[in-house]
Amino acid sequence: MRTLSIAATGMLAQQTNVDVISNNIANMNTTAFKKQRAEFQDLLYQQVSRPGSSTGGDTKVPAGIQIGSGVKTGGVYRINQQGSLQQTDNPYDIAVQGKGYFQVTMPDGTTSYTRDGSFQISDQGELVTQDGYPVQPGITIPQGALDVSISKTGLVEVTVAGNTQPQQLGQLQLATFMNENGLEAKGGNLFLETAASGQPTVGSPGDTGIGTLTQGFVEGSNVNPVSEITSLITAQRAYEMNSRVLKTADEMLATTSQLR
Amino acid sequence: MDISSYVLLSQEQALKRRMDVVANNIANMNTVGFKREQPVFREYVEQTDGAVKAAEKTSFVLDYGAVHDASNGAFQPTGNPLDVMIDGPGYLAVQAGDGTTAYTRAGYVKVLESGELATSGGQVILGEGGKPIKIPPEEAGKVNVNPDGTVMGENGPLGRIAVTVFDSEAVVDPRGNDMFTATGGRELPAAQTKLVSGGVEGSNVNAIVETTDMMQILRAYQTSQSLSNSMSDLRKSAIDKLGRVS
Repeated sequence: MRTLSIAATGMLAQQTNVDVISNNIANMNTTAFKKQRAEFQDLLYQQVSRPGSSTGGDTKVPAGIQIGSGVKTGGVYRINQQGSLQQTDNPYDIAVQGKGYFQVTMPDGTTSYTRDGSFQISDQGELVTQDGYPVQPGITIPQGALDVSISKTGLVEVTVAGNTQPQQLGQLQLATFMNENGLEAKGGNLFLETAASGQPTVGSPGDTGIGTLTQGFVEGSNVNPVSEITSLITAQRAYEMNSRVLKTADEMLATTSQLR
Repeated sequence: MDISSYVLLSQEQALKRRMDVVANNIANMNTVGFKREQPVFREYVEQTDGAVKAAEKTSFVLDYGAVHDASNGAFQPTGNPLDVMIDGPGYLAVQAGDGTTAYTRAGYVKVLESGELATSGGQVILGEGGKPIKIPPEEAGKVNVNPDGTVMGENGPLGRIAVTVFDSEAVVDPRGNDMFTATGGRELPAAQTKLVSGGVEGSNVNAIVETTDMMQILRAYQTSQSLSNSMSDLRKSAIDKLGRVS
């Protein structure tokens, strides 16, 4: 009887589903977190009798007998929907509206990508992430800066004491990818480029296909608690149903073993 | 020989088959684009020359096939403007790994590194006329799908997602991974194509129907077992009585 193993695949799949949902809920307040969804696919079908096989004479089996063998997790997808913007009034908080990732230089020299624009200033005056990784292209705020303004298109300007004219410091750039879902999440709100994501296209904010920047805001997570809770309920009930199948199969086997 | 046990055996086999199918349906309750399967049985009549006219025919139950219920599942919004659900019959045609064409109703759509539209499993979606739909890099993320399947970029249409229909659902066979194989399909023209974007089609498995089915199977199985037990008692007492030397 395949029922036992089929029900087991169903329970395993729902367990993965709950894992993904709980991670979404845990990151409900994580800056620029993108929710994920587990996606399921049916497993191979076992052909008990092939469709089109002869049943005698000229007649053929029109449908055939195929027994499915359960379900598997096909993948866990990130949903790259824009999160809502939250005002912070910190001049170094920058939210991306639309597509694009900030480039961050890691301690080993490689580049990571992030949408978390809650930046800080290092002791050298460099624009860095919360973990202290510098942002590319580097922006250094001079000492005695009174006011820093970052335009929608990423131009960083500073007003220094004793000078009425703002002074240009540099241009922030964003990287976009053909297949954003292919980026590898490595925790700490950082992503890595992979073969599936494609090469990054770097450009200024506001260019075609690249989002714009908003100073003084951060992007919240795009987790919707209501939809997560409903998914959680669905997953739990589906888990229960599968365990019910397991119990029924067990009862049928018990009946068989009591046969006289 | 008394064949009643064999008749019961054929029923128990059939019930186990039904149980396998129900278990698979329940396991795929949350599988996008899944179509519920239903086993079909038929009567197999054996003609014997019994002494009593009524006992000449014995009918067994035989597996005949499994058909899938092609009714639509519920729409599940995903927030991805590329995801599609087919409203009504039909399948999306995709390029399977071995170069053949497979069909699916799981409408998770993504853009590959090469710019082509593909399913979540990475199989390239075949648009109108079997041509893949290519998205230029600068328009990635700014693409919408119209109800007639046209993929709209910023500067006009980029292609059309085609829906393939089959005259008989019986030729469409599930082969796992949300894919179906079939032959003899035809593409629906734009005027008849109805796609809903921004979500996918949930599985059409109904938990209540499957659970009641399962209860029915269990009870029928138990009935058949208890019948078989009474038959065994009957046989035992017959041997006891007939074998007694008076």
